[in-house]
Amino acid sequence: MSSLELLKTAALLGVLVLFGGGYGVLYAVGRLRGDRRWLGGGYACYGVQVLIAAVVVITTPLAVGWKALIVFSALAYLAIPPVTWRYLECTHHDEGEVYDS
Amino acid sequence: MYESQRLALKYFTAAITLFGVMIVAGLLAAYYYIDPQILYNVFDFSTAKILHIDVLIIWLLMGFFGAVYWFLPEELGQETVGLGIAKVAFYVLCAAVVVVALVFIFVQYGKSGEFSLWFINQGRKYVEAPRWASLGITAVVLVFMYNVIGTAVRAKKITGVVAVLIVDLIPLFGLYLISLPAITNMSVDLYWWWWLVHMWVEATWEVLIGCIMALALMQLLGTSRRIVETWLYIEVALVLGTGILGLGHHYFWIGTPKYWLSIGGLFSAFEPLPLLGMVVHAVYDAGVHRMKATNRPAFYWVMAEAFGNFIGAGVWGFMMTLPQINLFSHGTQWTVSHGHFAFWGAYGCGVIAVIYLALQKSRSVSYMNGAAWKWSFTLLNVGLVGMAGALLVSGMAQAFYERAIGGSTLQAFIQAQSSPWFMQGMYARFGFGILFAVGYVILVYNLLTIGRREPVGAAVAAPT
Repeated sequence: MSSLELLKTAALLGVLVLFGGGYGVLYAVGRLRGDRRWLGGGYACYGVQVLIAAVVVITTPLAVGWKALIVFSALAYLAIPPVTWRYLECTHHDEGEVYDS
Repeated sequence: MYESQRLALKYFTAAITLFGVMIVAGLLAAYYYIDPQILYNVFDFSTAKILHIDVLIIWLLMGFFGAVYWFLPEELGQETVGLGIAKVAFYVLCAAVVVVALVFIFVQYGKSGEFSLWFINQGRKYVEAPRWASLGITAVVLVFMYNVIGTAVRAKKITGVVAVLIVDLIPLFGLYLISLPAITNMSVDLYWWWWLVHMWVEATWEVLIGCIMALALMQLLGTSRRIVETWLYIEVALVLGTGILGLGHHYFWIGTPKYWLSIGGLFSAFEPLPLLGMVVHAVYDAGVHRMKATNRPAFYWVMAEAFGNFIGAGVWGFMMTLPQINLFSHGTQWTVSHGHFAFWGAYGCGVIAVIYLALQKSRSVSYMNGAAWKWSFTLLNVGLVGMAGALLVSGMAQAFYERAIGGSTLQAFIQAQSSPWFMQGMYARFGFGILFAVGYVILVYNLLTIGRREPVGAAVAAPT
């Protein structure tokens, strides 16, 4: 890996997770407020995350196994906020703690 | 208030004092990069760094102990068992910390031999404390275990959180025994030393803070036990599932088998996933309570914990955890950047949140708010993010010039250290460090004064 590729790859990996976080936050805020714009922002973040994953796979010198891991991660990120949210609603609903948007 | 909670307040006082010592030593260590001549041969960089990182461990550990002594009697409805010996252990620990710090400051190092190992410095990062002090810390942890387990036995009651806590204390104690070095082969020694450092920071401490935050959330937000315990089990399983074998991401350049690098990279790459779940959970809680609670500083510090953990451990960690990157970034300021952010997010914020909770009850204040905590919250977090950002720039410069271009030679190391990118990062780190220190001073002022002006037991209406 060349010196420039090192910095580029690392920066891409960091931003990949950052946009995953952005997706999680905006998705959760969107669900809380029942507002499609926030949800849309969340999905836009996820879109950027997928784009970054594609750039990592296509342009970086990471080994194939690690690229496969990046693809898997990107898919996992899609599922985590909705699954977490659903489970949160279930557990809180059973306890009578429901968010009233 | 339980007697155990009075002991907890003493632990919190000691923790916050040591937090200050850590900042002073950190500022000094940061300044050496700007002016390496300062205090040369009087108080060298290595000693300032030892103080900085060892005190980091001790102040957080004291914060954890304080939190458990605070919540345990309420959780089990029973005064903590063995408080007499627990108080002795507290004073012994404080005295040991002072003596070790004085030895580090005034004696610093000794000749190679048993005497130095026993009385001056064991020479292993994070656990430099001499052997007598290590044995003392081991005894204090044993007393702490006795307090927790004994209380559960006496109460004839065990909750999910306390069960997880008790199970966690076993490796917490066992792993610390590795701090007593007995191995002369350096590769084998470092192999086990990482078990101690990694399994404390990325496994047992994660579980410990998970238990503490579970207890804190029940008190802070009135969240039901079933919810808190369910999430504790899930999060502990996920964090341990990804964290334990993530150990391999430290095994660079110390002679360990190559397969560890892949194992470490693979498992630590999964570490951000549970943290994302925690962020979603934090947003949910914030929404349910409309960013309001009867203890606003504690609430905001809990939120900072979730986000800081995700960014510090998740984003910063993932940037450098894959072996092809880690090969270059390992041991540079890049790692230091990650360490600062992750420690702060995962542990520092949580301990501060619990201290605010304890103060609310000990001072019988129905609603905690004000201006000072907002200043300290902002300055500490901006200072920390600034330091982590500046260190990242310096670390990337090191990885770029010293490792990737220069091939890790001594000359490349010197060249990288004098590169403008590296130096500007060091200046910025020091500046943000000052900001962080100002935030600490306001935090101390706030902790000393918050709620004191309100009449005891005053029923001030809290916003709902």
